[in-house]
Amino acid sequence: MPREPNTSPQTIRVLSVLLESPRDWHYGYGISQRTGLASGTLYPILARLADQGWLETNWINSEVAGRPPRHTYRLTAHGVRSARTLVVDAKVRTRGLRPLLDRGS
Amino acid sequence: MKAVVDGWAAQVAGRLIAWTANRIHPARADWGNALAAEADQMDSGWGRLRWAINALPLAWSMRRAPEPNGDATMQMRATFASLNREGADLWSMGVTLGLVSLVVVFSATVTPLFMRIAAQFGFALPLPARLVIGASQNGLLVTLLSVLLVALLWSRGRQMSGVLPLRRLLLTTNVVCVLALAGLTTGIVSAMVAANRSIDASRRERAERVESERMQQRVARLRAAKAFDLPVAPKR
Repeated sequence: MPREPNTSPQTIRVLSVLLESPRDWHYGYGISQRTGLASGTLYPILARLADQGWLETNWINSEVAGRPPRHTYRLTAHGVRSARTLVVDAKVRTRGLRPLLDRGS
Repeated sequence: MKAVVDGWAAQVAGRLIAWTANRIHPARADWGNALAAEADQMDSGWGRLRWAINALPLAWSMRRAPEPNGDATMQMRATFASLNREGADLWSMGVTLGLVSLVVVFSATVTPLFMRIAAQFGFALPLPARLVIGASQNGLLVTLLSVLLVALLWSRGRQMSGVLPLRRLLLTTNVVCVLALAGLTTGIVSAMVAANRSIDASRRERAERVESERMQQRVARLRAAKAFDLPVAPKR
């Protein structure tokens, strides 16, 4: 069954973090910490979002001397619009599940 | 000592990341470099090692060139993840609960019956069977399965992040791993102790049976000697 792209819970988590401050550049490690996603899960998501034009990437110098430049990410204008729609949809879906889970507990 | 171990962890992490980055397709080389650069920002060697181990799947998932309509492997994984969500989560929880109930019923009814039959005919059970029996006698098999069930609920629940307050319940990855490991270790140790006890009990039972048979034979000899008025052999 084909699925609408970028609607997996993991991608939604990444998009939610990026949407919190869409104009700022985010580090991979920071996104990993805030989403709880392992690097092996996070980087394919970031790569896919970048391939789709939702994400722009940039290399910036590290704040600590002697360390290599870091790869940073932020949503493009198209990415911000699309991500907002997806995140709102995801919240509606999880709200629909909440009564079922509350009844179970 | 701590610094040495930390340095060693950092070295291993560096090698793992280099190994992973070398397997990433050249068209995606930036992502391999990004991974290495993030690891270099971490001060702790263990943090780097954890980052590197978690990144190992990239050697497989990013080994091909990017496709114009999206990576087929990633699409497949995403579709699988979406199929696994929501209703499917509840369904798999139900199946697991059913399986656990079956094991509980089996432990409570069939296992003791099997033990009685084995004791009656006096045959020795193989070690795995004794371990399972020992665990079920102590109720530890049930404990172990409960821990595994918690782990499953946690992993499924993670997909509904924001719905279940997992972090508030302290069900983080590390806590669940420690719980599962502790349950497994306790289960194995207790099962072995119980198995040893059951071996001792069966040895004692066998010795008592042999003694009882010997006594019966002696009584029979005495009766026969009395009946035919024969001299009784002195007790050895």
